[in-house]
Amino acid sequence: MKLKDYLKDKSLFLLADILLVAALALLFYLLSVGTMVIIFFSAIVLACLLLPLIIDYGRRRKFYHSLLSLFDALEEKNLIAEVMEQPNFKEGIILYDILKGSNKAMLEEIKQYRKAQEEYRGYIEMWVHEIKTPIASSRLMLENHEDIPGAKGLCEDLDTLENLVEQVLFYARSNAVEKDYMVRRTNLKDIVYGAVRRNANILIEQKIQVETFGLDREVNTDGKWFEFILNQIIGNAIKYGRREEPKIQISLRTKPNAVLLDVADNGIGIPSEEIGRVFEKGFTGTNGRKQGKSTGMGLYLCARLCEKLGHGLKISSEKGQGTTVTIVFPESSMFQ
Amino acid sequence: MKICIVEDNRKIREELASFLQKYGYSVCTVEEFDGDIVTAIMEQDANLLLLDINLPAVDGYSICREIRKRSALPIIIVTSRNTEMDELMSMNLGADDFITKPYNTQILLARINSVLKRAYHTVDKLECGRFVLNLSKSIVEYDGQEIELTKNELRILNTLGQNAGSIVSRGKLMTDLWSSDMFVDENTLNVNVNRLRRKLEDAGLADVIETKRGQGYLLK
Repeated sequence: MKLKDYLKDKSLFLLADILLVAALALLFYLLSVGTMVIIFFSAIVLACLLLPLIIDYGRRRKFYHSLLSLFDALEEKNLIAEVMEQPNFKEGIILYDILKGSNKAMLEEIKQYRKAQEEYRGYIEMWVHEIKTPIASSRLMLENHEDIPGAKGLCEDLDTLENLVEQVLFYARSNAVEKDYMVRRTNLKDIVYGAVRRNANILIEQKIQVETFGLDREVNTDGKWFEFILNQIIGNAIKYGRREEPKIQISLRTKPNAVLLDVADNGIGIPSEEIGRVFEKGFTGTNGRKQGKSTGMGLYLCARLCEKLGHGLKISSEKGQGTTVTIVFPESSMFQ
Repeated sequence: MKICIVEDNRKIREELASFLQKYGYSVCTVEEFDGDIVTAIMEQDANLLLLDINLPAVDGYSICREIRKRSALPIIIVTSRNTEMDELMSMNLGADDFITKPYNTQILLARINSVLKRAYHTVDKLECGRFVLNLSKSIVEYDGQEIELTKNELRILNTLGQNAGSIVSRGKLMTDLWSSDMFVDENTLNVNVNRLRRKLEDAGLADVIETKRGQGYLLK
């Protein structure tokens, strides 16, 4: 707050002061009081009137100055009411109380939303586990009657259904505030084999060759989460595979500070102008539109989950040649 | 071998029971969940317990803990909760294995098999008419000879042997190989079957594997 602004604010008061002093001086002059006396008297009156203003200005300036610099420095601006000092003048106190009150109301509101979101997530989580029971029993019934017509198609649809249900679960998990995963040393081979096995039906059906190299290595990850990620990537490799001699290669490379897992296919590839957008939520691209099965959620979820787990995720592709997705597990010699 | 199924969903229980019976296990089930389940399970005198975690009234984990206090009965926990935490917890409570719903039945079978093998050190043998398939040693026993098999050959012969007398489709053979982590393609399957045939032939077992054009293979 500048002095000029303050004085402008108080201009009415100042004008009244000047008028008062002028009127008094005129009165004294008409009463033939000596000039020196008038000047002296006017000065005293003026000083008495201005001194409180100056003191008041000083107080306000100090308060607003510190408040403003605090606000500028604050990263979460909404916390200003929590950190500001209580002022020692009435207007400031009113402002302080209003900010405190508004902040409290906002926190209440946020709490409600957070609770609603948690409840929703809990419901999704429960629903996903509930729906797995009828899926499991359908699967068993199909296994016991594999020779009925349509059994194979139903089996494939169950695979798709299961994958979609999993996506819902992991979408809810990826938005969760609390951490419900556990990063520990896990053998990659077990996870990769698990993910391939899950897609066995369709891989065999479409005669896709699967090759794996050098996977017997431990990395820091959450087994369940990573199996989901791999499953999405393998699912894409199947969906966008080529017709003749389709192949998926899963291999491991070691670098000084990282272990890299490549999942490479020889499929239709991604147009270069679209490759930068494949991790965006809901992005389907030309391939997805042609296939008509894309939800634009798979790779988005992979990116979100990899970020949470601390893995890098890269994609490279050449149209008509194939796509390679690489997951980077940082390995620091300090932790071993 | 007798397997006890503790599962509150009637359909899954029944389908699972008939599935396991098809593969030569005898099966018993627990259908009352409000009484003393642990005693009910122990009275069945089974060789293996398939235990669902989400049960009405009691929690599968506490059943697991109680049973572990009383006996070394092998336990496979079946659950639809699939976090690392759940898996760790099951193992800490003394379960022998952990499998998530919905499971692939071939994988369930493989898990059951390996838990049983570990717990009872059984020599796994399969009678296949003219010869015996020794699964533990990965050999075919015939006429005093021992014919060594590779992993793939063993798996193929095992599947054919379990379905002896009926045609096994190539798709089924592939699925079986894949469920034990051998991701072979059709050409490899051809090569494996041919090599297996030649091995058996050399030992004097000619024409045991018959090719049914367009349908699959048949073990006679």
